[in-house]
Amino acid sequence: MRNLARRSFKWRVPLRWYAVSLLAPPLILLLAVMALYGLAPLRALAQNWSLIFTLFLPALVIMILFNNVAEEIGWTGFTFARLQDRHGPLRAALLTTVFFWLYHVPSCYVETRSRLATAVVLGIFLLPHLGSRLIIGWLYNSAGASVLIAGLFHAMHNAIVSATGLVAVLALPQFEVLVIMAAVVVLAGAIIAVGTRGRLGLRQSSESAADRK
Amino acid sequence: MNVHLGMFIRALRSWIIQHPIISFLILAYATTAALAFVPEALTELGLLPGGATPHGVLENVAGSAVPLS
Repeated sequence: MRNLARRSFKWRVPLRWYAVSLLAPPLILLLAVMALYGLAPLRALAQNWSLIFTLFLPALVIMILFNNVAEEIGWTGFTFARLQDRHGPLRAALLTTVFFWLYHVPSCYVETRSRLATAVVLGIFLLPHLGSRLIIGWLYNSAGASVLIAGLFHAMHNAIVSATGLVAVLALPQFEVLVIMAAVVVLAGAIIAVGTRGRLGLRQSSESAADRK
Repeated sequence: MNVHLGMFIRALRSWIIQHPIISFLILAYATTAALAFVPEALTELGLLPGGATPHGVLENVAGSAVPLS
């Protein structure tokens, strides 16, 4: 438990990992929406810049403090880390994806009140969940087993697609931003998996076990 | 009775230690299902006969019968 607590709040990591987890998602989204919508999102950003401080950042802070970092303690700090020791990083990410994906069944059903709609929505989001688990696993390993960095990325992603998040600042339909972010996450996850040859930033097995001790 | 309960708890603890991930998953899924479905189910009509709701039953059982017993 002490080891898990230490990894959950490990904040002394190179600054670049804070940049990757917090700055890369909104910047990549901005580039993607500019490619798709032209300059309209930039104009909306210039017009609605104050919403960054009144809507987007508060949403991000709430996600960090009460939601996603806590979520990642269980899914990354505990489940992914243990599975990784036994099965390697790629299989661990695949297994964690299934478990994490199933975890969303009750809340999805409550939102849709329809088994068919639940199945459709979850089916659509299976690949993005896999992409996000690959990215989060890579961030966790690369930042020296820091659950905090993984949680920050998850919080930023959720703050971006939230109706009161970056969606409102850019004045774009939430569903379209959700689809764009899903595509970005799937692509980034695939690039990371291929680029790291399935290691997801994990150093030699003796070093990773030492990180967890 | 206490001996059996103690044995059960020891066996459960042993099982959790041997299967930490499954234990976590059971806990996580049970919690999300409870949070998602129990509040809805408590006031859902049609789950119990005669127009009763689980909330109503709990209210009578836990609110009236248990304190009186």
